[in-house]
Amino acid sequence: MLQIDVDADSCVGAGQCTLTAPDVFDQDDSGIVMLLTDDVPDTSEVREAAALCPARAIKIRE
Amino acid sequence: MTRVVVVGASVAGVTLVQGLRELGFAGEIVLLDAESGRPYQRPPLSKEILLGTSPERADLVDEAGLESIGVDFRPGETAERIDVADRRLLTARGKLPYDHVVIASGAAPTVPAELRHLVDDGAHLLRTRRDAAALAAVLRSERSLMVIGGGVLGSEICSAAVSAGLRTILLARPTPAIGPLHGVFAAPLIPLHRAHGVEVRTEPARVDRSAGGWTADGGDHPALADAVALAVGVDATACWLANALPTTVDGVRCDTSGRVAPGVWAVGDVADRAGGRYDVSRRTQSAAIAQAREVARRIVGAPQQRTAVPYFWTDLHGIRVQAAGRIPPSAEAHVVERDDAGTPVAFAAVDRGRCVGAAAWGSARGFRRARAMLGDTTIPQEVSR
Repeated sequence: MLQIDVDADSCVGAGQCTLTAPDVFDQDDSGIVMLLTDDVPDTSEVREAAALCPARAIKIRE
Repeated sequence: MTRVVVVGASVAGVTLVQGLRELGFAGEIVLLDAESGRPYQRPPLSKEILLGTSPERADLVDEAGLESIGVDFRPGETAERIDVADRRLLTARGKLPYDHVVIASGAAPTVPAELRHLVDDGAHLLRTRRDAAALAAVLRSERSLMVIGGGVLGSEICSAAVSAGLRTILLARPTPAIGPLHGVFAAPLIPLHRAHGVEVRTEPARVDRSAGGWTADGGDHPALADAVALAVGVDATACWLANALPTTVDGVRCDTSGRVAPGVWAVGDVADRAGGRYDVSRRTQSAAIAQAREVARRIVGAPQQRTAVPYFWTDLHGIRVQAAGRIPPSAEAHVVERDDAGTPVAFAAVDRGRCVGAAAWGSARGFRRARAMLGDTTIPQEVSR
């Protein structure tokens, strides 16, 4: 499992996370990131989703 | 041991370094940067940093982060020449052999010859953290600002200046493009500026330093301001490469995977990828990151992931402007969403019957609806001219 921090204040609503790892990330009505689960699997999709965030609003705690 | 040298501690450079380690690269990584401080990203410079809020938002990684990545970070060490055949850089400190070199040195503000006198007289440019601090001081101390250039950077400076309480004058083309948005897709820009009190002038004007500040001629009366910011585009010429590799104002020519020559790669604003001109991906934060991830995988020989949809955003006067995909010059704008007053706020860009791009002005819902249409050939019929 991965420890993920999402920073809603930094989020710019790009939706790259939702497109890349839709089981873990979603967006609310304003486009802001939502974490769908506390049990985030350590997959290449989740790591890619975090890395692709243009606001760098998703941090993986190693 | 394999050595990767990254030129430029930009978001592209730092993402590449982090990507290499995430992929298990165990070799040596050297990160050169022409500036002296810690690595930072640029989008906040013309937003939070200008307003003096959340200065830490620009930081990409701190000392502890650099240490945990395992990177030989060399701030202030500039690359001066490249020897492609022998895989060597010449830097300010001497010879630096590499197995792979990644050019991530970005683009710099362009100053056309006819505007050179403004910079000589003290007009502000905005590229670095130091530039942002100088312009932030103007926003704190002056009462008026003239901004030349209505693109992303010029528009963001206007937005910050208005927010800081300055009387703000924008000199722009009558129909400026903003990032990948042009024509109908960019039409809300000037009305938005005017609605927030920016005096927008679209007729050609000559700007000069005068006794009490700065003057722009043209219009019914000259415009006067205490300070000037110049933001009329960027130049990605990487002069230090020119001895060995073709470089133009568009950057370093590379293939669609970022390869320039054997062992030489380019990512971010300096990467001139053939055919990318009308992609939203051109010179955006999102493109810099995606390209860096891609090149990191190429260097270690890892399989590529599905390509991310290019994304662009800017925040102007509290309105978020967003785009995704491609918006070619010939694209038709199909209205996807209107506000309560009937003004179009979200568009699908349709090219040869297919939705290739999405754009929205202050409508998260409209943006998601338009983006969900990417690739569709059945498009709602409302066309905006």
